Amino acid sequence: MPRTTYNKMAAIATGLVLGASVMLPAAHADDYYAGQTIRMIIPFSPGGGTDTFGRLISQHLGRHIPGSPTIVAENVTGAGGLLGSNEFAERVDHDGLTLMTASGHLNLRAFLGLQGLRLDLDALEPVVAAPMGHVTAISTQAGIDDPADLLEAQGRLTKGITDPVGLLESLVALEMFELNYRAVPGYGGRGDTRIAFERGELMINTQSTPAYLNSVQPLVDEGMAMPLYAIGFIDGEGNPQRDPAVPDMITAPELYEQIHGEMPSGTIWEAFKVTVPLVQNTRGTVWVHGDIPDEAMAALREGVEAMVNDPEFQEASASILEGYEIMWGDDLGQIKASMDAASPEVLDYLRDMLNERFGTEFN
Amino acid sequence: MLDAFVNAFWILLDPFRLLMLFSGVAIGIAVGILPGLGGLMGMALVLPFLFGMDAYAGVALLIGIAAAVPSADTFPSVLMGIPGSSGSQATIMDGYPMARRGEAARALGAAFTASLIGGLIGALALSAVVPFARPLILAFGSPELFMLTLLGLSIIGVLSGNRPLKGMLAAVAGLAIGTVGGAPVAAEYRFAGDFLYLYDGLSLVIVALGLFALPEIVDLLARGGAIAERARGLGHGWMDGVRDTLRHKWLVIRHSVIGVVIGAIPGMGSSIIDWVNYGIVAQTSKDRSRFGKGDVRGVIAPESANNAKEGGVLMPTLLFGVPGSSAMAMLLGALMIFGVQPGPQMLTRDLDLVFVIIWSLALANVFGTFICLLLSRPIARLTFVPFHYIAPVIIVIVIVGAWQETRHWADLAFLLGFGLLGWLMKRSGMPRPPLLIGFILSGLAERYLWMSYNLYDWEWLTRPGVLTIGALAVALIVASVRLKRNTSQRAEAIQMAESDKESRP
Repeated sequence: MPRTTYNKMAAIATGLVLGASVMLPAAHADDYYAGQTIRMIIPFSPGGGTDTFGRLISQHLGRHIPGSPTIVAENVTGAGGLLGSNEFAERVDHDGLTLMTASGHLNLRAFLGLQGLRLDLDALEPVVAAPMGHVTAISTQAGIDDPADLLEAQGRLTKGITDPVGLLESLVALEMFELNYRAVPGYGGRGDTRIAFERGELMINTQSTPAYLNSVQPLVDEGMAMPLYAIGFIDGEGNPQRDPAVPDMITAPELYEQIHGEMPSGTIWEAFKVTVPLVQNTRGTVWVHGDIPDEAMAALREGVEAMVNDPEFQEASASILEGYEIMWGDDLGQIKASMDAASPEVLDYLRDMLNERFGTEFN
Repeated sequence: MLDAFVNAFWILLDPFRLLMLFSGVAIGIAVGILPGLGGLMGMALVLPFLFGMDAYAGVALLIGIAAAVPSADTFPSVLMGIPGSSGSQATIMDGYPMARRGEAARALGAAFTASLIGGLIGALALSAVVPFARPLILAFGSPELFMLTLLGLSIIGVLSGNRPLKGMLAAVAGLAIGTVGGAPVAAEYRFAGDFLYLYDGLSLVIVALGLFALPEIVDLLARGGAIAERARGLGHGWMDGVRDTLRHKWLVIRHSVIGVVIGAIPGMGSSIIDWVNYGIVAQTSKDRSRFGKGDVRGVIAPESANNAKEGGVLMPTLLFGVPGSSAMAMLLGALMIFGVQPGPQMLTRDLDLVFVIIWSLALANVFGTFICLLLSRPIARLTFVPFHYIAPVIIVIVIVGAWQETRHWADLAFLLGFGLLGWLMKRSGMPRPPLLIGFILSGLAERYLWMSYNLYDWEWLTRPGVLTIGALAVALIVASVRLKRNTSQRAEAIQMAESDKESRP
């Protein structure tokens, strides 16, 4: 009897110890951020899509992280996001007290190694992200009434360029079709290309899907334009997926298959598969340095999980996410997986294309 | 339509929304008075508070700021010759000489009354034009926008007085300085080397503060005494200014309309509007002898256009979701937070909100003017205080204004650099406004020229819009040259005004 008691006691003690050790990281994580202030660098000016996402996260994430740190969003602007990104890359401690909200375009710049940008995505971990699809439309002046006739389009097929790297996914899609288009750089933003498209100055126009539905769809209804394809998404196995905001619209790879009878292949297809997951997080990716203390990483992950399950956050984020699901937890793996999958040939292909067409310089 | 118009008024009368509108006006006045800070800064300050606010209250807050800034930024322009924000640079030309004559209160009274009327005309135009603004906005393609930049450059002659060569030299320098940084149509960085700060080019705020604020401060300190040279007391009070503006009512209306139209053209940027209006009024007035010396019309024209333009820049912002100015980009961001997508459908889906914006614009102009008029008497007294008492405060404010641009040490270095350049120009009698105009238009001219060529090869030269605007620019230049030959009087006057400023030790 005493023995059993002893065993029981031992079991209870072991249980307690085990329990405590299980509790331990959480307790640590709790300590880690207690009373701290996290700085969220947003390398763009206030008011844009990426900024809005970064501020949404800053507003809600803090109270869900164990220890309830305060998150302060700070716009570190300049040089198209380079100044803020470089500050994050080189001048902050890797202690989990600094986060950065990047746009998909910035991710792509870092990935391709744009000149002047010293951000190494391999050394970072995504914390939470918001995707955003894109739709390409063509003016009816091109004289076609079915997307499948794309290659017979007539006239100067002008495509407005705001920032070539930022539009890479739409350019890669056009290259995939081997369409003979004329790129016109210099537009201030996608909104400006939308006006130029309505004016008849531009024949091909790519917008984010919500902007398409909101401002290009009316032109389609008036018979001035026709949607060609959605860029779509790429699933874990590298297969095209419909854009959840326009599930009935054909995606670019599907249209290619319809025209050529087979799926696209070769370097350009690889380039498409790399570009799309990286850039379609246009709305924003929150990054943290990969080598922050484990308890800090655990606390951040825990905080994100609690945040996305919080009805208050869901309500606040609905209008900002514009029909897309927030990306968190294991789904974030896609972002890094697509970068790891990129072969040197694909990288060279993308850099050469940007360099030849637009003179973009890389490191 | 009329239903929504009346309905929106009641929506805005809700106490909380009115409070927000008032807060916006108060913030707008504060950032407007501080040199270098503008509507963009004010809106960025309140952005975090918008989450969780209802759309009407949030929009009232933001529009309150946007509408009050162009009224309040007149204070530093008139009182100290320092641009209060990029919208009131041209007000310096005549407002500051008035203040130095001891007529600060009168200049302010005239400016605020013009601002009020201009702002109301802007709101009225926005409500009247909203259904028809699309053709206007769509009429300006890249080639037409390029010609508009040339038209802007052609007013340089007017701003150079009888020193056209020096004026052109300054303008060319401005064009060159404007090429620093990322090229508008190529992935190329000019004169930037590895210095990332220069990738975005130089900031307009820093260039303007350096050129106008520092030289003025230095010279005032060197001279000693107060800003106002003749202590006439406040006898020439603000009521005189109000009467001035009412007497020139057609001028106010004309320039308000010009302000609305230029504001409505996306891609031109609103910082050129006050200069264009100053150029026009100085060019078209019969008696032009007093411009640059303290002619009240030189205050009324840019100030009415300046407030009216907010109605104009809202047109592309609301109808196309294309920000008409950087502050409007912030408004677009805010609309997104409220789940409102700007665009043509706003007129059907969110008509209430559109009219709340218009009412906010109108009411904010009324509140803003009222507060500014109340403030103008005590603030105008500053011009009679010995300058060395206020200089330290002004210097701090100017430095903070420059520093908030990117909070990079180079902000301050370039502020000093342009301060030195401005002082040298002032000493050597080289007009500074042309440099600023060249700087503002440099990137735009290059961008639209290349875009026109890329889009149409050389065919763009024959477009009717291009030919019309081109003819206008040529006419403006020819007229200014011929009128100048006939009446050298005005030129002398400007020279006298400038040397007036400069010769006093």
